[in-house]
Amino acid sequence: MRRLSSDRVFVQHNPLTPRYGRAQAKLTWILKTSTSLGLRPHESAADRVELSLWAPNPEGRGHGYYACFRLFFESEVVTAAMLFCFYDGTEKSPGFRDLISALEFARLNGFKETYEE
Amino acid sequence: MKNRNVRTHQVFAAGQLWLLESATLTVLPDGSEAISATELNRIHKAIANAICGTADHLSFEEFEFLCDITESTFSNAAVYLGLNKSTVSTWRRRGLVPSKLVGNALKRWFWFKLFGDSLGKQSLPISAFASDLAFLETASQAAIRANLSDKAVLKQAS
Repeated sequence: MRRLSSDRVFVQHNPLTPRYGRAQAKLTWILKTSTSLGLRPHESAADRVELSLWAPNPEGRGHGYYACFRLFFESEVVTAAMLFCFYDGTEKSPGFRDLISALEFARLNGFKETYEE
Repeated sequence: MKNRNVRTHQVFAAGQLWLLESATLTVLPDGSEAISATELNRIHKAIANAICGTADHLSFEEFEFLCDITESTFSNAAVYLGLNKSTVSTWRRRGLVPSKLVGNALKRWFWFKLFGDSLGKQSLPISAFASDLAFLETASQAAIRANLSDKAVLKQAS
């Protein structure tokens, strides 16, 4: 995903909320610093999968950023990625201070570290 | 993927609602509308330029937004000002950078990070140095005139 150009990485257009605004502003940080938590198949389409990530808080403490991206494929090559979920512990969203707790949450939501079609 | 241009676009950023004259949304293969990182970069630069172009108090949310956009940490900002990092925690608790002088110094610092490479050596009229406000307004307008930033208008403070 990091190899995609910036016109191929997206944030889903959502209702205006402070958390959605932060998701947009923190996109670069997430792309640069996040760790993959796992993949899960898309509910209905074979040409896309979903990826969950966790990025630490840039200040080294406080909630990190949990994000999910939908990856779109063409001939087994990722052509676009769209952020569709962002949690940072605000607006009653879940918050994760460390990688392990984020990983646990991702597993509970169907993300697996190895992906099988 | 198809693009859709919208005439006016509202963005929630830095704790406030902003209005931009135009934006491009992209329709992805699953039908969702999304905004690209390239477009976000353009929009965020415009908002950052608008924040830096006033001498109002800098709110903590604006400070955090400017850090995000310029890829700076709170520590970088504290070091620039010769302050202890714990001072930034005080700003967070208060919800703003309490001193206008410090807020304006930060705005100048962020503005130069965003536009300094292109405009940092441009000469300005002496009147631009009459006050912080005069300088910040002139710098912000210069970025718009040079097509390095679009115009973002504050629609509603939170």
